[in-house]
Amino acid sequence: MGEVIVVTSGKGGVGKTTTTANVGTGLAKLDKKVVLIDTDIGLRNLDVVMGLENRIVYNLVDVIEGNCKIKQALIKDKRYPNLYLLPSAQTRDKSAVKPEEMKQLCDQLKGEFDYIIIDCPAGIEQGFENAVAGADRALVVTTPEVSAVRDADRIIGLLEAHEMKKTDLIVNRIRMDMVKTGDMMSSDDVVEILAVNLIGVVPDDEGIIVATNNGEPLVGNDSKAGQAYMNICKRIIGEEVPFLDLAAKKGFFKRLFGKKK
Amino acid sequence: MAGSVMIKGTKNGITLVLDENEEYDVLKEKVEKKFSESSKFLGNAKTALAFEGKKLTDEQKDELLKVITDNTDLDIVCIMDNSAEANAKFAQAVNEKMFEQLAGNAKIHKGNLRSGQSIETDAGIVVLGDVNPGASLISKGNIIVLGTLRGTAWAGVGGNKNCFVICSDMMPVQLRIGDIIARSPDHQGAAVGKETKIAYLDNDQICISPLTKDIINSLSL
Repeated sequence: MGEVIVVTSGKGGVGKTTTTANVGTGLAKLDKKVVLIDTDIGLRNLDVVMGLENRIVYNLVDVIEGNCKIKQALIKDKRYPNLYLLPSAQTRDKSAVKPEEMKQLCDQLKGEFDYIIIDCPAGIEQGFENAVAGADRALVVTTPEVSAVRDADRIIGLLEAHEMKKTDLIVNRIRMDMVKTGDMMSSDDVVEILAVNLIGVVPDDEGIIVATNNGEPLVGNDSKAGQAYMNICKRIIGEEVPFLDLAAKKGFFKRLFGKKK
Repeated sequence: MAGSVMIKGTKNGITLVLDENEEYDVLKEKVEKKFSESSKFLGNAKTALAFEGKKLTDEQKDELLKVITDNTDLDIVCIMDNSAEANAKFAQAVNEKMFEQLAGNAKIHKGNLRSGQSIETDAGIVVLGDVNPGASLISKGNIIVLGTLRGTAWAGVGGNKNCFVICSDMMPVQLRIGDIIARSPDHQGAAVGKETKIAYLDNDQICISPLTKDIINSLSL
């Protein structure tokens, strides 16, 4: 029986879609059978980040409305044969799907997949209700900014109201140089406010922008962000992985010149 | 019994379902009542009619047809046979006829089409502007974009394989002509200069080529 994980944040632009793409791809790399569902109807992005936009024929709304079978709408990833995407509709809006329908869909997919990862839209309205309806577990993404943390707190409250079984926190786009100078909250500061289990810290990385534009998630490569995402995936499947030392300098030369400054 | 006469709307027209165990005269009366009641709802559409259930003679069919036309503003174009094969043939014939009528017609859209916007029409489509990714053009006929096509275009919905897509700059995410789908390459090569191109079907494959005089001459409109 598969597990349904919703990736949510409240605030927009903190990296829900990027996290969904990377965690999904990472779990597929760990030989799990994974399906990603984009529930951001009307503002779909996950297909673009995954580089699968040109393969879309049917979408989530078509499945819900019975215009096609689930199998027909699932897009097989171009890199991993055990990774699938159920894209969202672009020409409709959130009201095209009801929470009960999402729950039914998740229950159907659970039989066939190890992990069903749902990309939640920003906000706390119907799109959020749809996304969390069928979920067993939530990953709350936030950046170390007061506004994002405030919204994450609100979302965690709503998840508790929905009786979510398990809620984990991802602190995204952290910059250790700014944390050191005291200009940015550390992941510990964020955890202290939100009081939920921290499952990963992802550093700010230009590579993410390149990966997003190329439609190829960077999870598992040797960049810090790629490793951080891979560690999150391993923790999701229950492995104990120590947190990365994000403050560590990269290589010999950097260390050499770093000291001189 | 209320359910002995039922009106069903189908893709191709109206189906009248008649109870097999009912006398013809009773049915006729009920048909009259049913259609006069729903005359407003049915409007004055041009439609086809099919019978289901009770076997009728041709005279009886004619009689019922008269009852219907007398009691509603419907314009019954023809009576269909209700077998699947006949239905498919009928749908195809209607499609072809529609295409003939619409080939010369086009919906003209001024301005850019942005993500989430779409134009869906039985006629052709002409866009004076760009079509961005996430926007879609869906037409039973041909599609012409005087601008850059970056979104999705579907010409010849319903299976017409003679339809084409022309645009000043061809960079679609996905193209569909008739029932055939083609997607963009995963890795875009170096950008080539803007050139008006046409996409058409050749042996059930979507081909894209520059719009030359020869090709224009060979187009069937």
